[in-house]
Parts: sequence; C-alpha cells; structure tokens
Amino acid sequence: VNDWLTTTLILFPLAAALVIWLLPWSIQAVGSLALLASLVEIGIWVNTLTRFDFEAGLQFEQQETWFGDLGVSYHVGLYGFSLWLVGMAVVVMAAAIAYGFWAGRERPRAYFGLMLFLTGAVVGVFSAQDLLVFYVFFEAMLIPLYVLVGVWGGAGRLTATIKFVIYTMAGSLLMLAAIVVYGVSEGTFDLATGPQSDNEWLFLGFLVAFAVKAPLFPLHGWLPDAYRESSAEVAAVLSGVVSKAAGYGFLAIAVTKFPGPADDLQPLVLALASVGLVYGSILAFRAPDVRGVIAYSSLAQMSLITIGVFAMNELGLTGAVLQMVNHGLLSGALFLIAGVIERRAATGEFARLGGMARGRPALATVLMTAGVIALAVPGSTAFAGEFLILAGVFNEGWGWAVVGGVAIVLAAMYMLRLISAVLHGQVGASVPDEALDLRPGELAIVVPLVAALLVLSAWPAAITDHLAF
Amino acid sequence: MIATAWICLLSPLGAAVLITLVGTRISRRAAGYLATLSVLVSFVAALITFFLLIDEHPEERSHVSTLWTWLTAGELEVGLSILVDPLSVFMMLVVSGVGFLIVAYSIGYMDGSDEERRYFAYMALFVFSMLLLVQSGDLVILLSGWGLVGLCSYLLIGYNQERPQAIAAAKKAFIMNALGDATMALALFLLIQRLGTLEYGGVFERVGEVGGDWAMTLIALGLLGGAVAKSAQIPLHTWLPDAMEGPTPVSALIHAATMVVAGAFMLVRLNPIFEYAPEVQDLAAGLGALTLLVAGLIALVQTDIKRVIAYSTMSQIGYMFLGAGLTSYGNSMFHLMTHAFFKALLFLAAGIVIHALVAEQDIRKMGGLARMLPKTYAAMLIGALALAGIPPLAGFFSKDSLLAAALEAGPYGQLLWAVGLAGTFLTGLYTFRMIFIVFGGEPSPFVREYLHRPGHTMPALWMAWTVGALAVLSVVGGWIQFAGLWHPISDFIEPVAVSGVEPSSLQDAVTSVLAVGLGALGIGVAWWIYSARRAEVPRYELGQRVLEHKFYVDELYDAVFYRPAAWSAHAAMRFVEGPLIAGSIRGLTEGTRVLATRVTAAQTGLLRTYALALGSGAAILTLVFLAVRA
Repeated sequence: VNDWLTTTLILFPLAAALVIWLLPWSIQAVGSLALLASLVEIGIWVNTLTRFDFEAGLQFEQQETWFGDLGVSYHVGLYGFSLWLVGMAVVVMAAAIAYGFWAGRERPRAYFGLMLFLTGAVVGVFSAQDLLVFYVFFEAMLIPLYVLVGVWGGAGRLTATIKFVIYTMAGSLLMLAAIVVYGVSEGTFDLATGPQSDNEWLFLGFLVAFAVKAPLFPLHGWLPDAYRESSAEVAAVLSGVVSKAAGYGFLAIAVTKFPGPADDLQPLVLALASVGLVYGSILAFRAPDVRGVIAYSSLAQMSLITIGVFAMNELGLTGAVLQMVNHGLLSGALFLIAGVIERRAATGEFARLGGMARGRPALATVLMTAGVIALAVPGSTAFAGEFLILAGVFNEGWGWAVVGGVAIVLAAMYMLRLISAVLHGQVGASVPDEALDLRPGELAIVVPLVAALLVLSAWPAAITDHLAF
Repeated sequence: MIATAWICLLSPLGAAVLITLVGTRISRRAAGYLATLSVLVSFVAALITFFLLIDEHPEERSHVSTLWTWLTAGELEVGLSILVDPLSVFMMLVVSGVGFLIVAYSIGYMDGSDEERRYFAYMALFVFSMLLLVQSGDLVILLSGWGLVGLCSYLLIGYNQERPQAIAAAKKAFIMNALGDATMALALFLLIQRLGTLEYGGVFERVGEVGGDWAMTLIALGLLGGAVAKSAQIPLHTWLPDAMEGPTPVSALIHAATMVVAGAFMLVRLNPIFEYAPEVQDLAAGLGALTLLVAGLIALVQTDIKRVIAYSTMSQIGYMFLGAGLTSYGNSMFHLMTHAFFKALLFLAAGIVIHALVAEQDIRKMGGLARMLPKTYAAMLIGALALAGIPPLAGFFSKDSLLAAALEAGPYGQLLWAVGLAGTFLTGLYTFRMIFIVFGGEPSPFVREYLHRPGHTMPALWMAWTVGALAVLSVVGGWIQFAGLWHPISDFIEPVAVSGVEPSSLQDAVTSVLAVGLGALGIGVAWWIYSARRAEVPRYELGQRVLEHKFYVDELYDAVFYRPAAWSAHAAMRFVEGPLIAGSIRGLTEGTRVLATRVTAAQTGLLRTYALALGSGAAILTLVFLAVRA
C-alpha cells in the first residue's frame, strides 16, 4: 500500500504555507496565493472523491515505518466518512482564508501561512491511521490556533488564548499518556489494525481529550471567550472544523477501539452530552450577541453529535457523520456572517442591532437560509442529521430522544431570536443607513457554503449512503 | 400521471427559486405574475392527474414514485417519493386551486408594497411545501413538508418585519409548530424501532406488528401532537389568532384554506395507523369538539375582523377533527374542501374591506359598509351564510353530513354531535355579529372619513375576479355531494380511507333540520342584538374577561414554559456558567501560579536534591508502568 494521494492532501497546504513564509511577497500576492492554494486543495479533494470506492473500506493508504521497534509508522488513509470530513474541512478553510483576504488581515504572510498550516494539520487528523501520527497532527493543529487567536483576535484575546491553551494542553497530555500506554502494551500504534482494548483508563484519557476539544459540558470553559475574541474566520474554523477533530476522535478511536468501556460508560457520556445539549441551547437563547448564540449553539450541536456517536448503532453513527459535515458548513457560514455584520455595525450586540433586512436582501436571504437550516427545519440536511442521531439514541433509551426533542424546540427559539434581532424590528443604534448589502466578494465567500447546505438538503444520502465505515 | 404529479409539486418551487435569484432584474408585478402562473401550472397538472386517475379502476388508483433516495442509515431507507392516490390528488386540487386564486388576488392586494418579490417567493415556496406535505409517500417526507409549511408560515406572518408584533407572532407560530414537529419525530423514532421503515406502504401494511402495548398509542399520540399543533387545536391553538399579523391573503391561504387543515388531512392519510389506536382517535374527535366550542365562544368577543374569522377557522377545523376522529373520513375531507372555499372568500372579502379602510381592522370603527361596498358585502354575505351552514350554500352540505355521522357513532359520538350542534348556533351568532356590525346600519364617522372605494384599476380587478370566483365556489361547491343521494367525494376517497360510520337518512334529516335551525337562530339573535338593537349586549363581567383573555391559555404558557425557560437560562448563566465554568479556569490559572511559586522553592541548587527527585520519579514511573501492564 503506497498511494500518495492522502499524503498530498496533507502536504500540499503545508508546502504552500512554507512557500508563503519564505517568499517576501506583497499583501495581495500572498493573499491570492493562499486562496489559490486552498482552492487547489479543494480540487485535490474532488479528485479523491471521484476516485473513491465507497464499497471498500480504508483506501489511498500509505504506510512507512517510523519507529519499527515500537510499532509506530507513518500510516495515513481515508475511510468514506473521513473523506467527507476532509471535504468539509478544506471547503470551510478555503472560505475562511478568502474571508481573511477580503477583510485584509495584518501581517499577511504569517497569517495565511498559519491558516494553510492549519488546513494541512486538520486533514492529517482526519486521515491519520497511526495513533502517534494522529497525536502529532492533533497537536500541530493547536499551534497555529494559539497564534491565530492570540495575535489577530479582539481585545480580550490574551485571556481567551490562555484559557484555550490550558484546557487543550491538559486534554492533550491525557491523550498522549493514553496513546503511549496503549501502544506499548499492545505493541502497535496502528489505528487501522490495532486491537481493541478493554482498559477503561485509556478510554477515559481519550474521552477527556476529545471532550475538551469538542467541547462537552462542563469542559467548555474556553469556548465563549475563544469564539468571541478570535476574528470571525478563525472562530468559523474553530467551531466548524477543529471541533470536528473531537467528533472524529470519538467515532474513530474512543468508540471503535474501546467498545467495551464505551459501552460501560455510555450512560455517563450520554448524560453529559444531554446536559450540554440543553444547557448550551438555553445559554444560546440568552446570549446577548450574535457570536454568543453561535458559540453556545456549537456547544449544543457538538453534544448532539456526541450523542449520535455514543448511540453506537448505525443510525446514530451515520447521523453523527452527516451532522458533523452539516455543522461544519453551518457554523462556518454563520460565523462568517457574524463577521460581516460586525464589519458593518462594529458590534454584534443585539441591543444595538436590528432592521438590517430592509434594503439588504442578499444579507437577509443568506442569514435566513443559514439560520433556518441551523435550527434543523424539517426537510433540511441538518434535520436529516438530527433525525438519524435521535432515532439512533432512541433505541438506547427513549428518554435521550425526548431530551433531544426538547433541544430541537429550544434551537428554534434561539436561532429565530438571532435572526430577528439582526434583521427585523427597528433599525438598531449601531446600524448605519449607509451600511451596504453583501458585496460580491462576500457573497462569493458565504454563498458556496450555504449552497452546499442546500444541495445536501436535497440529497443528504450523498453522505449517508457513501460512508464505508 | 406520475409526471404531471411531479410537475404539480415542483412548478411553485421553481418559481420561488427563480424569483429569489433574479431579484430586481424583474419588476415587482412580474414576480407576482410568475408566482401566479406557477401555481396555475400546478393546478392544471393536478387536474390532468385527477382525470388520468379516475380513468383507472378504483382499486388500482395508487402509485408511488421515487425521485431519488433521500436518506439512508443502516436498514432505514427514505426515498424522496410521492404517492398519487385519490386522497393526495383531492388535496392537490384544493391546495393548488384555492392557492391559485389567492396568489392571483395578492397581485392586487400587495400592489405597491415595496417587497413584493419576497412576498411572492414565499407564497410560491409555501404552495410547494403544502403540496409536498399532501403528496408525500413517506413519513419523513410528510414531516419535511410539515416543517416547511411551518417555516413559510413563519416567513409570511413576519412579512411586515418592522412590526414587533408581527415578528413575535411569527416566532410563536414557528415554535408551537416545532413542538408538534418534535412529538411527530418521536412517533417516527418509535416506528423505526418497531418496523424499520417509514414508507407509507410498508408502515400501513405492517403497523399491526407494532404490538398491543403502549407503543401503538404513543405513536398515534405523537402524530396527533403534530396534527394538533399545525391545525391550532386545543391546547396548541394560541398561535393562530396571533398569526393574523400577516397580510390578509396569507391569512386566507395559510391560516384558513390550506396549512391549518393539514392536521385533519393527516388523521385521514394515516388512518391505518390511527385505526390501531381508537382511543387516540376518540381523543382527536374530543379535542375537535372542545375546540369548536371554545373558539366559537372566544369569537363572540373579538373586535378585530380578521381574528373573528381566525377563530371561526379554529372552530371549523374542530369539526373536521371531530369527523376524522369518528372515522367519518369522506365527510371530513368534504368539509375541508368547502371550508377552503368559503373561508378564503371571507378572508379575501375582509381584505377588500381592510384595504378600503386604510388598513383598519377594528370592527368597532366600522359600520354601514353595505351601501358603500355592495359587491364586497354580497361576497361576504355568501361566505358568512356558507360558514353558518345555511342551505343551499357549501357549508350546509358538508357540515351537516359530518354531524349526522357523529350521531351514528355511539354515545360518545352523540355527545360530540350535541356539542357540534351547539357550535352551529355559535357560528351563526358570531359570524353575523361581525356582518351586522361591519356592514349594517349607517356609515360610522370613521368610515365616512377614511373610506377609499376601490376603483377599476388593474390591482382592484385582480382582487375582484378572484373573490367572485370564490363566491361562486362557495355557493356551488357543496352541491358535489348530497347526503343520502350522491357522494362522489366519499366514494373517491373510499379506497384510501374507509369511513367507519354511515348515517341513516333519518339521522341526516334530523341533523340538517336542527343544524340549520340553530344556525338560523344564531343569526336571528345576532340580528336582534346587533342590527335591530332590540336588546343590549348581555354583560357578564367574569365571562367576558375570561373570553377576552382567551381562557388565559397564553398566560398559562407564559407562566409554565416561557418564564421557566428564561429563568433557567438566567440561573444557568448566574450560578453555573459564571462561577463554575469561567470561575474554575480563573482558579486554575491562579493555582498554576501558586504552584509555580512553590515549585521554585524546590530549586535548591543542591545536586543531592535533584538526584533524589530523579531517582524517586523514575521509581514511581516504573511502578506505574508495571501496574498498568499487569
């Protein structure tokens, strides 16, 4: 097995990052190059998609021995479900890079380099088939994020970064310990062929690391600040793409490698996730600003995805994968729209917003479309995902599904509040009359994400029927 | 036939997408024409489908067509499929037919509103959603249509997006409907668990396998929850009166003629499921009876012309629930159709009144309009008489046969029959209270000052001809079926839903006489009080206050749901998120610093201390690894 395609998907953005760091180009040139690279990355992904065989399991594998004695190897490859996650990631990353270009970030070489580096790391996480390789990419993902939040963020960015660092480092160390113990005791670090384990402590190590990353209640202390203080496109990437590393981890490692412990602790995880689902929804309903609503709704959505994974049946797992893709696109689109709103009103506070629909049909249409899909209106792809997740967990106990049903109603409440507070009612104090509708550049960034969601709404089976677990 | 059914479904969707995409490149009027045309195409396609269908043998009139597989997971497979059978074609005709007239009316009514394009895109999207609901061939697609009509209802109620009341009403409608969607989804989960499929054919065939325990009741209850929310039946009815914040044609299309009757449609469509849970059917009939009575009472004290009609809608859907719950499916669907005609007529005629009075809706300011707007008066009168069930208008035929069937359905049915008859008295009373106040007597000062007679302009003509067409339908629409003599609608629906009760001619006759008598009595009392003014309006402080507060249901929901939700959000922020989640991290940072200071003390600079630390550390690690390995 030695197919370079997966490695290309990982290395291409990393190489582009390197080029950008090394060449002393102008702002325009750097931004264009980064955007071009992210689009080429999408192209490579599409090429992978067309060549993918959804009947088979792991493919486009590449394996090179790394530390032979320990059973560590550079092993990458793609399953059907990881392919979709990679696709979601490269699309959202491209939109984020385009938005950063459009918004004109300072120190562009560092900035775009980091964004591309992050792209490569995320693709690495979704395609690593060796636990140590997975860990390396998982950590590599964090480094650019620390800098992106800490340097290009808002006024409270330092506190936000420190919280983020402490939480994720703590989680990562637990995971590293778990990986080392697993690898040493089983004699292999391979994710694809390694044996299943019954060790509850190892399971917990992974569980906590992913629960911090997702985040799950009550480990979400870093979330509100990080999503509020980072720039819009970094928040989009954090909640849309990076959080999916956790969902992927739950699915590909926690449940797959530790079915016994996962089964034993299923009620605990489901309970935490259910609490997080309702808790996040309630706080989203109360949040005073656009980003707050999206941030806490991300907490709720990641809880829902976790519920789907830990339903541990085909309905739940399928729904979880679909919902990960959905939420990646949705959260990405919503945070970018939040950024667009903030650029016009200089604030995201509901008390100072309102009435933006009048004279701005494009903004109104895009926000309304993304918003109603986010609240999982029946017939949308988010509905399809949530429906499968709750149908799956219903089989594990009807009570979980009832909690999920309550959360669906709460989701309608907070999303409609967000939509109305921005678009409807009296014109807000901070909304200048001359604030423009979406410019063609902004449309070109946000519309593809929304269009992807609409296409998926017409055909969610594009993903659910092509998973190859 | 399959092709025409798909054209019927997709034509309005195409118009909605087109209007959204071309934006200002077409004129506002053109958007209206486009939407109207697309619904007309739907109606023609539905007609063709109908004629092709009745060419076939009654037993073979059922066709499923799947465009593509919409959703899969494990064993579950959901196709984007439609079912073409008598019931769905019947509904396609009603939805696209009445929908066409109302969208055409909107060309006149919305003329000059500066966001007409958005309006017509929403209207076309709504017709598509409603057609998806009635044509669906799978419970998930049904639920999708169910949710999408709720969405369109939200968009259209909140069409006047600067008005806070409109936005609040829109949100309320959506959230109460979402509640119904959630209970429906739970019912579907149970069905998936027990049967592994949600496709109509498979479910109807195997629903007996669900088992005799509580599961069947719970499934039916969950589905009923969706029906009750969508059809604004007690206890999920409070959104409908508020929904009158939307433009009047919206009220006519969504909150009278089509969407709100979806609940009654569902009781009929899913009758094979409900038949296994007769207690839930009885519950549906009982809720319908309760609603028709309560809504009739509340309508007596309403002062907003549209709200009077809105409560009459609730009340009439109560009749449909009563009929469908007592398994009198054909009659229930017949009433659904005639109701669509005369209720659309009432709303659209009321729209002309509102238009002529510069958007005033308070009936206390109106009066004497019969002389000023004679044609509108005639139209409104036809609608009101049809609503009150006076022969030979449409409401008479459908309501009476529905009630007569109740008489046949045992003691419980007879109880509901009595309630339904009481309802006909109330209907006559509140309807003609409105008619006499608005149209009777001398023109009020407000009318004298503000009335603008509609001229013979293009917009006014669009409004006039559509109202005229609905007036004709409200007169002749009931003649299609005459109890005891001919019943083509019931026969047509029969292969889909076999009615469980057939009233005798005597029961029909008795019911008709009583219903017409009571309806006329209601009109008479209304005339006595509001036209002849021989009696004062009776005053009962307490009763009036209870009715004006709509039995305090809104207040109850506020206290039971909204306040606890808001309070728990506040509490979660104050007691959990602040001190525990955000506070813990502050504590952690502080702790790290303190720990660092302490650890600094360990840097003694003495080699022996470091050697000891290294040695003991290595020893502990070894022990740990050994322990883990063992």
